[in-house]
Amino acid sequence: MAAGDFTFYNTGKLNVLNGTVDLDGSTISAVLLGAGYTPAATHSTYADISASVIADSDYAAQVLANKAVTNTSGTIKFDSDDVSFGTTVTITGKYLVLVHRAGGSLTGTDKLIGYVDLNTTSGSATVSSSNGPFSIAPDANGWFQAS
Amino acid sequence: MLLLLVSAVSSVELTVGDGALSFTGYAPSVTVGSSVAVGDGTILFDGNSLVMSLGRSISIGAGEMTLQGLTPTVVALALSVPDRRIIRVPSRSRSIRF
Repeated sequence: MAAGDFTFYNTGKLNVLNGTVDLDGSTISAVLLGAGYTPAATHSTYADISASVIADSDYAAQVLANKAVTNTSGTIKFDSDDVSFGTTVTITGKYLVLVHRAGGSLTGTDKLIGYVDLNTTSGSATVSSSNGPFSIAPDANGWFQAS
Repeated sequence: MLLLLVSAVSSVELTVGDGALSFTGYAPSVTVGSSVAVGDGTILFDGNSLVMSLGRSISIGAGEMTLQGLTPTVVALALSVPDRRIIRVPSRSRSIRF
């Protein structure tokens, strides 16, 4: 089981560059989607993915903590703390999506940034916890870099 | 000469293709786990042996698997380790039966 690389939605990249999404100054939610979701670069808002959000009773979207945008010799890294969906939860997910949350809760107009396939074994392969932990740790290089 | 130099610099314009900005995404690591909770299994006497079965499958990796969360009463009855409340299952076991 291996997770895929963080992949931008088209407008996710645009919104980061034009400042619509302030990566380290706004609320970024981490959302889990099921295997029924088919990623598309053209997806742009939460309305495009909301129908695929998992319905497990233990699941709740999480907010990225300690977000940081850093510059090392001209390479810009976006990083955060690990995302934990709980330590004793029963959850099955396929995709993790980062969403710019404008208000107190996710709405259809919130902007998508990018996604990660949590199990690239196949198009339907998922990852599951059963009364155990479900957490996702960004790579040492962060979620993504720009250079 | 100085005036000419300033004039030349001020005429420089950037156009598409002069530079590049690339984004690179990285793969995070995913941690998921399983544990046994109260109510997941049953214990029964099977002739001379005590058999505990779980209502669902649990994959067992290398090393040793630790089952936690059993009620003190059940653990005391099964293995007489009421203080630790932990039952260890050898990794060679593919089904949990003890």
